[in-house]
Formats: sequence, structure tokens, C-alpha cells
Amino acid sequence: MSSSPPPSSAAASPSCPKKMIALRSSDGETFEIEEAAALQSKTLENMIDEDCAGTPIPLPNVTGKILAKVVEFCSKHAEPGVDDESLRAWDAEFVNVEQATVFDYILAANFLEIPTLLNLTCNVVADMIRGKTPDEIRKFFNIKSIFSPEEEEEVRRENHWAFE
Amino acid sequence: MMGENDEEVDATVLVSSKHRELIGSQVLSCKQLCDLPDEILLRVLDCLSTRAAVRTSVLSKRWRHLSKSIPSLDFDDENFFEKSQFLNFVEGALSFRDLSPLKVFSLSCYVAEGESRVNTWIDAAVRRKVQELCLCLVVEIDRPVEYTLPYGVFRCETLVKFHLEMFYNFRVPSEVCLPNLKVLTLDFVGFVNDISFEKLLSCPSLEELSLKSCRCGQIEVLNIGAPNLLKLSIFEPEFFAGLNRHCQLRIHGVRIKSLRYHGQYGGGDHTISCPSSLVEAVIVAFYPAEENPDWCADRVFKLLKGFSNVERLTLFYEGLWDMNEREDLLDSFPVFRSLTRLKFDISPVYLDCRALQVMLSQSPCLRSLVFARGLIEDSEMDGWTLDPVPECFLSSLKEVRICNFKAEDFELSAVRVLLGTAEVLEKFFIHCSRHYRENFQGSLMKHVMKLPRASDRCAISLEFGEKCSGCSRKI
Repeated sequence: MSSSPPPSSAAASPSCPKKMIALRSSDGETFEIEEAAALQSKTLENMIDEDCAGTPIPLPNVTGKILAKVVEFCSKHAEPGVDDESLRAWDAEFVNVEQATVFDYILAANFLEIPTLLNLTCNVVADMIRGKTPDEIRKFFNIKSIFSPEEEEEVRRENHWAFE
Repeated sequence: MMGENDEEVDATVLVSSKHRELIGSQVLSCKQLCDLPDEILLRVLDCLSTRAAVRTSVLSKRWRHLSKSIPSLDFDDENFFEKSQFLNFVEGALSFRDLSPLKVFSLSCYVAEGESRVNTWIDAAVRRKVQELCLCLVVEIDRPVEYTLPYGVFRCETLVKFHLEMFYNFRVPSEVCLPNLKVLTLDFVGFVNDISFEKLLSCPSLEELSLKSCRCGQIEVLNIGAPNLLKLSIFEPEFFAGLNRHCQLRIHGVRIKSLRYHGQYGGGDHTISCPSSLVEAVIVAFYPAEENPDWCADRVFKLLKGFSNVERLTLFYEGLWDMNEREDLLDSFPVFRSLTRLKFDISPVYLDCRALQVMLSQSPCLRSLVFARGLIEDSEMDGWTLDPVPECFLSSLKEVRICNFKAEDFELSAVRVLLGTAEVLEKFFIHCSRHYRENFQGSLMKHVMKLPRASDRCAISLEFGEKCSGCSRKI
């Protein structure tokens, strides 16, 4: 997951000469990400400030499979000169994956505090909910309802104004 | 806080204990929607309309619990066929929702039967520590001309953003305490009492203020006291005298970065406390015909002096034109040391206008020049050109954009002059008005490409159609 080396910048601070950040997943895979891309994660931003030694930042709660995709997302969103429309199309393709993967993206985005990815993935889930009847939603997401039929009826009555 | 436990046996892992706590060690993964934590499900609910979000209450006990604390409430009576449906929905949603803090409360509705109900709803939001309040209220014409919002709004400590759109006079109570208000936008609102209104404009954390089509006809001096104001935008459509024409604007904050004024060419004296902090200014004024040109020239000159540190400036051309006969002003024209982008709007610009040439000469770092309403060369001399050529044309001007181009002879001549004098130009962009065919037959592109160019790396683009991609949105 490496990108081409960034152009040297006169503004590079002497204590952090490297512009590439290394990340290590829970299963030991290492990924390289450009600093600009890494800064999209507030969590990484904090860690980068404090740890400039260039050794891989361990992320034991994210698997290699997901971290690879997160790095891909951040790198794409840090690319200069991409127009809004192309980026939107790219994002749509990025989240065109199975449910469980979207959930893993959400968790990673939440932990790493990547607002763009978190918004994108939460909206994907919202899209899956929107327009479905409650039964359809339950089926789609395998939601177990412990409501008894009477309880459910009561809830419906309580919120009848939402169903008119 | 250094030094605690961050010496590790494993020297390759230089992560302090603080980070170790942050990370934990459990792999974040889940297969089902319901395995996601509450905070995330609430985010998902926040992406749905209020109605859709509340409907999830029937899914399961957990969803019922979650839907009671959705972060945002959005009510728009246009989404309902009948008024009674709308009222039921709002009342139902407000009593359903628990008292946990509300991020956004948005209400757009027609207020017919007296204020009390709507005000109760707004109060409900304030009680839930709302951060962003957005109210679009259409008040019935027959009603009294003033509308009183609940006073709690003006004392809401948690309020960060407030948008009010209400074609009515608006009374601000004498007690205003909004310590966290950062963004305030007021549309169509009328203000009668300037003292209280000014309290609203002096909020200590206020960073962005926008007044659109607001009516403050009685106010002579408008003090905008917010000490941390970064952006100010005042917009009045043409022929709409919202602000008193002689109203003086006084901006007290010393951090202001962006000032946008679009409206009647005001007569009052304006003061900006710290004009050197400005990075961007937009002054687009409609010109009252009866004003004395000398007096206008003085006013515009004073404005320009105030803006001499900006990086981006949009100006109405007539302001410059008034200065043409004023040697005294042209001789002491300010230098725009930081100006990189200059745009002219409202009317076509005359390239042979002396004041324009002086301004260009005094803008040594100019990179981008935009003529949003067209450019004309009216010297009536064959082969007229800029003399002397402004310094920026030789060293920094990279981009020129002409919009609303009708391909008349005097416009083509202006293009000729620019192409022939701008030596480091990289992009020349022309947006043609749909009438250009009345003036020009044949290939416009071929004609322009044949004109001699002072820059050997200048790319020319022509755009046709209703909207200019470069500036139609940016008035």
C-alpha cells in the first residue's frame, strides 16, 4: 500500500524527516501511508505528533484486510486535484461491499476518527434502512425483536404520529 | 506529562502508555448491525429524516431506546399534506424524545394561530441544550407585525449556530447571553430597536455573521461589536433598501478576515477596526444615479485604502471609474501588496479606464484577473494597447477570465490587448454569452488563437452556455 514518494518540502521539520508513516495491523501486516493521508485520521494525527521515530504505529484493533482499505481511502482523499464528482463516484464504489465489511469500515473510521469515512459509511447504512418497512429492516439486518406482539402494538400506538 | 512508563522493553515499539490505553487490544469487527455500539447507531439514525429515524422505534427494544435520543430534529411543514398531521408529528416527536442534548433543531413552518405553540417547540429545543437552531418561520400577514421568540433562545448557553429566516420584525430582549454562539445568519428579518440588535451582534464567540435582506431602516449606526468576528456578509438584492442608505457600519473586531458587501452603494462612513487582518473583500454595490461622482470617488478611495492588504478582492467597476478624473486620488493610490486575485462585477470593465490601469499597476503580485460582466476596450484608436504595461502582467499574472462575452469588436480588441501584453499568462478563459453569434460569425476559437500572444505557454479556453463555471455561484 505504498504511494510514490512525496516531493521534498522545505517545511519538513528536522525531527520528522520522513513523510511516510508506517502502520501495523492486528495480524502483523505493515502498511505505508503518506503523512498527508494519515492526517485525515485525528487519532493518527495525535500519534504522529508524539512519535516521530518512524517505527510502525501498532493498531492492534484493526485487521490487515480493513487497514489496507482504510489506507486506500485516506490516500485517495488526500490526492490533490480530484474533482468532487469523481471522488463521489470513487466513494460509491469503495462502499459497494457486503454489509459486514461496511460495519468493519465504520468501526475503524470511528476508532481512527476519520470523519469523511465515518460519514460515508453511516450514510450507506442509513440508505439501507431508508424506504424499508420495519419488517423489511429487521430481515435485512437480522434484528431480533424481543417485543411481544402486544408490546409492538403498544409502541406503534405510542408513535402513531410517525406512521401517518 | 512525560516520563511515566514509556520506557518499554521492546525498543521497536515506541508507543507511550497513554496510547496503549487509547488503543486497547481488541480487534474491532462485527458482522451484524446490532453489534455496532449505540453511539454509531445514533450516527446512522442522524442520517435519516426525523420521521424515518423515529419509525425505527418499533424494530426492537434497543432501537426504541435509541430512537428516543436521536441527535437531530427536523420539522418541515411542506412534507405534510395537512396542517394537523404536521402538528401531531411535531408534538408527538417532542414528547417522545428524551431530554438528552440535541445537536440540531430545525423548524420550517407557517405560523398562523398565534405564536405560543411554535414558541413551546423552540423552548423544548432550548431545554435540550440545542447547539444548532434553524428557524424558517412564515408569519401570517394579518397578524401583528412583530414576532417574539422565546427569550430562552437568547440565553441558550449551548447555542453555537443560529439561523433565522422570518419576514417579520424581531424583538431582541435586553438580556442577551450567548457565550458560545459562533455562527449567526439572519434572513429577511426586521430590526426596530438597534441597541438590543447590537447585543446580538456582539456575542463574544461570534465568528461568522450574515445579514441577508434584513430591514434595519431606522438604524443610523450599526455597531458590529463581536470581538472575534472572522467573516461578515451583508447582502441586499437590487432595489431593496434594507440598510438605511446613510447607515454607518462599524466593525469592531480585530480579527476579521472576510468582508462581503452586496447591496446599495451606502452613503454612510464605514469603519473597520483592523483592516490589515482582512484577507478577502467583496464590494458589489448598486450605484444610485443621483450621487455626486466626486463624493463617490472619495468614498471608494477610502474603501480601497482600507482593503489594501487583502489577498482577494471583488469590486464593482463603477467605483473605479468615478476616480478617472481625480489626479489627486490616482497619484496616491494604495499599493495592493498581497493582492493575488482581483475580480470586477456588476458592469463591464473598460480596459482603457485610467483608474483601472493605475490599480493594476499598484497590484504587483496579481495572479488572477476576472471580469465577470465582460471587458471592453473603447479607446477608438487602432492598435491601442496598455502603456505602460502593468508590472504584474510581466511577472505574475497567470490567469485571466472574461465572462458574459458577446464578441463585439471592442471586446475582441480588449482580448487582443491582454493577450499581447501578459507575458507569463498560462490560462485565458472566455465564457461566451448566448448572444455572441449575433456579433460574430465563424470560429471564435480560431480568431482568438490567431491573435499574437506575449506568453508562449498560454492556453485558451472558450465556454458556452448559461452558467459560467468559474463565477456564476460566487456573486
